[in-house]
Amino acid sequence: METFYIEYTIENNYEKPVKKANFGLLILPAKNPFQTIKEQSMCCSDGKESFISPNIFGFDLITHYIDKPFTRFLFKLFATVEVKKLNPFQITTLSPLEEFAIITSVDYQIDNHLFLTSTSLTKMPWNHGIWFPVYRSEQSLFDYLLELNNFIYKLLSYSPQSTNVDTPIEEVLKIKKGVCQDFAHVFISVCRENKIPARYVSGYLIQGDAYIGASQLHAWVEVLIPELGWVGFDATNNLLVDNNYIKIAHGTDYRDCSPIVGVLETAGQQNSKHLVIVKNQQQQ
Amino acid sequence: MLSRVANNLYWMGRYIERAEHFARYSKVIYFSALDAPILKTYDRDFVQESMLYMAGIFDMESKTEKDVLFKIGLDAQNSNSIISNVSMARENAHGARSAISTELWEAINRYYHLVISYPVDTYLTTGFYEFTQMILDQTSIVRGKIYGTLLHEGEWAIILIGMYIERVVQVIRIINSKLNDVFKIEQAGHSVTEQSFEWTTLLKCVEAFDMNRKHYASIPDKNQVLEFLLLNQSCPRSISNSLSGIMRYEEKIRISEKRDSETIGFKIGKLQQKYQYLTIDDFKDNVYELLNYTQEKILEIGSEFEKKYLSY
Amino acid sequence: MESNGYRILDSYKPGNAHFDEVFIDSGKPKEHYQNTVDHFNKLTLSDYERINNEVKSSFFNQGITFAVYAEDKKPDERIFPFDLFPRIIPKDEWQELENGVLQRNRAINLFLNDIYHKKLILKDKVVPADLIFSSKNYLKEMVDFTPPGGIYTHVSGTDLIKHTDGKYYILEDNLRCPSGVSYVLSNRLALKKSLFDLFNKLKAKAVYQYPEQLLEILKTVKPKNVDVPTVVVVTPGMYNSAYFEHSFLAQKMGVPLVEGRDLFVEKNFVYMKTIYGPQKVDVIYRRVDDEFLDPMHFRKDSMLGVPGLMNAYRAGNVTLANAPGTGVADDKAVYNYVPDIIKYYLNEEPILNNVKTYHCDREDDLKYVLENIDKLVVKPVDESGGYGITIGSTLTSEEIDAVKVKIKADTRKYIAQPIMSLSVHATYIEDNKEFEPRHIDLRTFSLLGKNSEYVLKGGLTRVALKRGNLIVNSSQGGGSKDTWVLD
Repeated sequence: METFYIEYTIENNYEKPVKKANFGLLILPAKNPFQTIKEQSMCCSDGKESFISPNIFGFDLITHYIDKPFTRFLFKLFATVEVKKLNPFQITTLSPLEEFAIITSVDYQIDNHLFLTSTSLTKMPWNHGIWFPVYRSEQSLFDYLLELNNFIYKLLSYSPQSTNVDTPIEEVLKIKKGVCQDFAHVFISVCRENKIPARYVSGYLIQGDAYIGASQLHAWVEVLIPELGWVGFDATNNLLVDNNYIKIAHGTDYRDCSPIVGVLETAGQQNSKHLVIVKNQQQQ
Repeated sequence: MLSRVANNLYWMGRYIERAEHFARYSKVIYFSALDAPILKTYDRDFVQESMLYMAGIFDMESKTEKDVLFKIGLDAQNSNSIISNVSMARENAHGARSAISTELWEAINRYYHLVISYPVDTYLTTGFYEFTQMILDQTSIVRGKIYGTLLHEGEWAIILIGMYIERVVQVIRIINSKLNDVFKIEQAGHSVTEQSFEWTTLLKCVEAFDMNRKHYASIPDKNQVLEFLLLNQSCPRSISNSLSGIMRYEEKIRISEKRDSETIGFKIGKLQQKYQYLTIDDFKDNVYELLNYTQEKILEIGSEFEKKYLSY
Repeated sequence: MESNGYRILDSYKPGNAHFDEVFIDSGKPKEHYQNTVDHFNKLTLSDYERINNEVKSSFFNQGITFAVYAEDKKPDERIFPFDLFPRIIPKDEWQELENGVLQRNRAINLFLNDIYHKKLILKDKVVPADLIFSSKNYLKEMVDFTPPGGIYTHVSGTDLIKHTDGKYYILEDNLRCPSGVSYVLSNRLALKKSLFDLFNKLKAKAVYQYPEQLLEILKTVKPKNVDVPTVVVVTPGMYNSAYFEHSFLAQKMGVPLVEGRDLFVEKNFVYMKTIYGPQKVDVIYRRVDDEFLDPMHFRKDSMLGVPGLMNAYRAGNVTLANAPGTGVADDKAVYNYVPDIIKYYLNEEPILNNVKTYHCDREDDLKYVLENIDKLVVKPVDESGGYGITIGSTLTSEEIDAVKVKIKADTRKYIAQPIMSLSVHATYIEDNKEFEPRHIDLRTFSLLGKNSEYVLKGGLTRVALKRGNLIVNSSQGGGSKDTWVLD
């Protein structure tokens, strides 16, 4: 069991006053058997209490409706989360062939269709010219995914600001650079091409251990493995997800997990700052 | 009632009223000038200037009579023309379509179609009287539908508040415009009798000539006319009467308010009270001052009313 | 006048090549039209024109107009053309239609519930799963969510035609925001004024109850914990081509007509901005498309929607009618499976026929379509309003080649159907000053609520005014007729 302290700050400044706005923030650590929220508090520049309700995948979404003019939006979250130690290397009793049969069965494909249908952000271009590993019945799914994780890690180089949240895979594969979202989207896309259910995950990653992508919110992938359930892969770091990862939410792609969505009435520009601090409690 | 719909109704009322005043003023000025006693000063240019002044147009280059008539009547590019005002009235009614009666909507829609399909050629040659009279008749029909086919509740009150606010604004403009004309005539050294023609015209501009006759039974002069148009509670287009209207209809929609001098109710009430206890002697030497003060106050009340009830 | 022997329907030549609704070949009217034909024959041409003009100006004054949008042009305001000669449907014929339409709606509603929950029909391979999941109208926001009362399609419009064989065929289902019902009610009002004599001889079923029925249906699906729901109609605004209908329905139901900007969501409840502050809204009959409903979820640039609406909906605090995501079932590619859908859920034979449909994404069908375009109508699966439809028999060989290229570029997008021969109906043609046969179809309007259903008796008969034209949509030069179901 490890305990993490999380601080998340978002600050948006607007050139012209915003008449009214709706904000949705998806930044609260998820509640699941592996992580328990010990403490949680937040504050918002509108002075009102945050309203929390489930989003479409059941994760806690914070919403604020502001109908008085403002030029600055500031939101802060403080949380302490307890994460269970887990061994990411789990073993299934199924043979590769049995596994393959389950995955390719009609019912399995239909039940998991949301994470099998390509989205605009996970659409694989037809002419990328890259020989991604192909999932076959001779190999266990877990081994295949390790191979894929490694492959994508080597294929793309991590490069902040090289892409934005709307960059399609086509572009990422052309420049062979990206940030954690892009690693995740490419991973998901290859899985879905191989008819393996895969979902996008956003979350926090422990800082100070030389992980890539820890200074911001991180992104990784969960893949459904028969018998084992959803298992996390982080292609950005070529790692399996373990107790250094704190999940916020999952969805079909980045758009289901964007940390902040705002719909505002304003004419001018905005600038946006995010600050993420994740510390092991002992480090404090 | 939705704030947006209330906004539509308020502006519908204002545009209907505005179109009517423009049409009536133009008609009266144009036709009374044809046989005016002071022909020399009262030439066509003078008439056109007056019409343009009323329509708030100060930057016209070519000023042939046809240009002026077109500009104030059927020029859709001019946002102050009669056709633009009627279009805006209809547009606002359309936006509030489900909040008003079918009868009222059809009356406004028919009015709009009559105006936009009125042939420009006819208007500029033989139809100017018919056209302006049509505006007045259609306005009467619309006003009749407002009174006769809406519940005398919120929607109705908001339309009337719009109409009465606009009425105060326009009547002040008309009086100002006429005072302006008389000033020019006075300077040219004409007699009081000759001036009385101008006061008659002013009364006609607000359809108050017959009423004035009935009330005073004498030839109109300046003070008498100003007393009538500003202070007479029974004259339907007097400022005093219009202010009472605004107060009456605002009370219809008002929800309980604190006793606070900043509220709209308070401001309207104070202005109305001021007019109740004013005599002609109080302002006959400072008419412009009173008119300007009233204009300023009424615009302030209008914009606060919009802020309180109509913003969305 | 009658005395000099002239009768305005004498010059009518029945459309022999098609099913003529009014006359049999010899020129004698069918029994259920006899009274009406007699009535018209008593009028002189000038009587008829006078009545016709009165109706036209009454529609114009009422603002029963629609706007036609073309690029680079101001929208053009036109009256929806209306023909005085009513379409008459005998009682028994209607009963079968009504049963068929209701059967179809029940099945489609069960289908929607299934594909958003257990997906049994897909697992049983009755409908291909890919067809559903690849549809842009299948919304993940609706997966595992049950709308209040389990109702998805509160309002449906079903388009039908009568073929040369005298049978009705379903042309398409409209499950999003079918429009046209306001015309039905306005047409009836106009006809009652101008042909009141005829109503004394024929008993036509009333249509005026529709707005009341709609309001009742909407109330049956109110959110939990609401006693008397506040119902509103949401319109994209007065520049929408169906604004007349939106305001008509709101006014007849006695509920506010609101736009997205009149509403806001706070803590998952929806409020409208009134002059006295926010007022909670419980049921929304929305005439705004799914993708514009909520910029937090769908199109971010939508100015018509309400941010946060989908969350409020999913929290069960507001009902949307129709439910989002119903468009997946009126996709023209799904249409072909509706008879199977009916059998699957209801274990009944479909009462109404489907038109044979070829799916271009199937190899055999594609081959047939490419070889037989001249005998087919090609339609994009995801357009409505008659846009994008190509009728093969009217094309030159170059045009056919162009269509082939278009189909091959996106096979999922196109379906093709045999050119159905729409029945014809005597219709007054103003330019020729006489009655001529013109093609017609029928859109029925049906309502589905919690434990209640309703079909408007009759519906909207649309008529293609151009000679030989098969497309009846108003945006393509179509008009309408009052439709009488006999009592």
